[in-house]
Amino acid sequence: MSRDLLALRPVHRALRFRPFQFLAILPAALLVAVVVASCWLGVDHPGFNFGTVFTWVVWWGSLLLSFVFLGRAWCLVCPVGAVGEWIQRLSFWGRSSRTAGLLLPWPRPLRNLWLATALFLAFLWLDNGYGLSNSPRLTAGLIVVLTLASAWIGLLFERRAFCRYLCPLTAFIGVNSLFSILELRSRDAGVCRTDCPTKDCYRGNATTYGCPMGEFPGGAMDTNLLCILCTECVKGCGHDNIGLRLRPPGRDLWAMRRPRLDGAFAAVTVAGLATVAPLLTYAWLPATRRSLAAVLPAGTPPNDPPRLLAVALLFALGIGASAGLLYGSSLLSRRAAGVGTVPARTLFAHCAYAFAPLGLFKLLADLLDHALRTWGTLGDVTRALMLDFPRNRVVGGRVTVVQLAGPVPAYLMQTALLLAGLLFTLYALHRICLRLFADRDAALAAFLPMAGLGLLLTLLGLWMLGASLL
Amino acid sequence: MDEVADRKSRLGRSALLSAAAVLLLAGLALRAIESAGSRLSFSPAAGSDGVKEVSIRARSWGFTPGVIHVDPGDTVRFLVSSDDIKHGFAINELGFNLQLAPGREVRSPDIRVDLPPGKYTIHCSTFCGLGHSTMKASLVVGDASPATASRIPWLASLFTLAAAGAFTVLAARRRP
Amino acid sequence: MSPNALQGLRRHPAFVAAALGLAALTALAVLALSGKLQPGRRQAGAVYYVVAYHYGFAFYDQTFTEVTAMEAKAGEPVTLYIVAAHAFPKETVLAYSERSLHSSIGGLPAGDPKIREKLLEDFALGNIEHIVGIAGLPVYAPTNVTPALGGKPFREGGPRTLREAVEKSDPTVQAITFTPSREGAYDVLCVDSGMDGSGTCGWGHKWMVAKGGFVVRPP
Repeated sequence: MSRDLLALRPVHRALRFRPFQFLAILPAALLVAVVVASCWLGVDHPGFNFGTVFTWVVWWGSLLLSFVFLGRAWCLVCPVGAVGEWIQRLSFWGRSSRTAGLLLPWPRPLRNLWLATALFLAFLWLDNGYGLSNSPRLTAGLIVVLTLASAWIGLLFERRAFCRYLCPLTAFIGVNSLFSILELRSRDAGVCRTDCPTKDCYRGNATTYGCPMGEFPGGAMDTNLLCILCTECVKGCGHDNIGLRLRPPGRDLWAMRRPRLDGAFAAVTVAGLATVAPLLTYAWLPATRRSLAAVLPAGTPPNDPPRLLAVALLFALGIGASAGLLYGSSLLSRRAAGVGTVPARTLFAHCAYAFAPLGLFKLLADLLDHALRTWGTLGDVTRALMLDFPRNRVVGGRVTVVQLAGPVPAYLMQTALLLAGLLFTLYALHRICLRLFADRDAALAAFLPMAGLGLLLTLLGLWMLGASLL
Repeated sequence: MDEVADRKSRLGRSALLSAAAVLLLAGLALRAIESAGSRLSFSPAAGSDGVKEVSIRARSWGFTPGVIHVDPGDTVRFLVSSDDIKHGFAINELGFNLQLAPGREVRSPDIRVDLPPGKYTIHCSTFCGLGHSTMKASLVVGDASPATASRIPWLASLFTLAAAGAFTVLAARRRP
Repeated sequence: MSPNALQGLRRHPAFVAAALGLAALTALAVLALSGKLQPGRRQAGAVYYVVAYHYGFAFYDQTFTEVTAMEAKAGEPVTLYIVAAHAFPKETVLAYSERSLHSSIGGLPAGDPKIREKLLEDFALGNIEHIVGIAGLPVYAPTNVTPALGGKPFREGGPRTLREAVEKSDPTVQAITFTPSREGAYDVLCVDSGMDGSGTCGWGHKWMVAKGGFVVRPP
């Protein structure tokens, strides 16, 4: 059923071409440079600044869409991670024998996604607390801080340790990429096992580097979670045994042999942030802030400690509640399937990944809403940028707000998206339960509580999006 | 025989428990959404200059009051302030969009509401985080009977329920 | 540092060079992000002062003589000192505001006493800030007089004249330097905080435009 893109000669030639990734990164790097210039030097207003509008609407929206079709394709072109790599390799695309880096191994206790998930939550807290996406200056600061971090980590540690363990987006991107219709895997596992003693895809050789993410395409890598599509393994494999295949969406969600808890928690975080956390904040932020203002000194927002702490608490509660709900469903599933079969913890780890599409499609629905209602802004800021390129200090004039669809058609489109997300999640849950339980009835009994949770989260999303129609 | 009955009852129990859990939690969530207070309704009276003045506070993520009633042909002025970060306040059909900053009250021009009776969306036009898409209020012009639009979220919920149910039934039926 | 570590470093000259370079960049970034890095204030070329009041602008040349429009030569830098009228004492603010009675604002004829009423209403509501811009030129200056008022309706104890405010480097005065390149007449306006005339200074915001207030002549 899968279609191997690398079987096509032009694709094969392009992906084995060493400068391929650099050529892909270059336009992205130039764009990010313009964004940073515009954000730092330009009009200090989020609605008039090209940088903020481009980053938080265009880039963020394209990112979400790219997960569906291309997996971690953003990571392929991301200039932030590339900076660390260029410094480490002392080369833009060639396989150099020198290195500027110390190539220290990443500390063992941090070899997981926990740190990255924590940083992702910290970033979201900054955004909601201080209005990061609301401020050109803070946006520029964020990009600069991340780039410097990538540079330092690349200088000190081996491979792309920043991209794999530290980037605030890696857990988010990784979990969502499990859904994509594209995958990079070995073609024939037998060849890797028996015919290849050198494992160049992982170790590298005289002409290529080993996988920058530390993955082993010839063996352990069975999902898209960490593959940034850099094509280094494609260039390095002496047996031409790597394929870039199209496949039905979401297959990775149920194909993991030993799903790890850190990724499972990241998946729960994504789904929870899209549904439960906004609900709690929407309902309880003013009251929580009021209670905290009794003990903390108030300030002018955004430097208002009660509000900042309230946002942090409610986010933590939202994530905790989501994990709790999933664990509760795991317990129910275990009981329903019959005691002594699959432990709840295993159910949790497997099923959590299935909720990724639900979160992803809710985030898509959120962004669709914004794009449909404020379409004219992008045109305005691009025009303003062109008037004073790249510093963007000019205000183009009056702001236009063009509505592409009314509230009802927009809501219907959002419903369609949420429904699609739910159906993918349900299908993934179904396949996971079938794999975990030999008995079909036990699998179905285990499936029901999980499906119920998926339904609940989807309804939450529908009601929050539709609250204004009521 | 016993085994089959055992399995079927297990399935039935699971279905019941799941449905009960979903209903309970959904009910709680609905209560939380509705009691978020932003359904506060406000019908301004005309001031001495014939203009109806409406004071609104915006916060992450909602507006208070959440519903404003005016009559067709009224002249309205909005005084909007933000409680926390930068938000927007826009009514597309009336063609205006205010940018808000914390601590500052922004005053719209005096706008004539030349719209047919109905319910119009007031929305936040500045991307303000996770709940931005929820940040909406309503301008009700005239004696709008917003019956149709307000039923849609329920219809969507029913449809979702039906879809999930259909999937479950299909999945249960399929034999390898 | 232990001798082993030093030896280790000596074997990695590229690392040391890269680390030093990166450290410099990091220091620069920290300075820039914490606001310590300010662009040099080159005061060259033409100098003008702009006072934004409800609802218009007053322009002064470098001798503090009022002019109807600012003029600059293409290719030469211009520095504008921008301040809101509320930075000055009550009498000055009201004197500027009286100018608004000379024009038709908000659909009311020139001289209509309702204009004064609306003005005072805006003052009472705290709509005293402006965002001064020149359409098509890199001037975007939100004024910031509210802190100087200290909660009172008008400023007390501040500079009495524009000259005093500039000479004492009053915090309410902003300086913007730019170099216009294209010839023509540009409008000075109170920039929208939103669309179609909704702004920060209240009722008359949409009419706060000095048409052709900034003229760029050939070099």
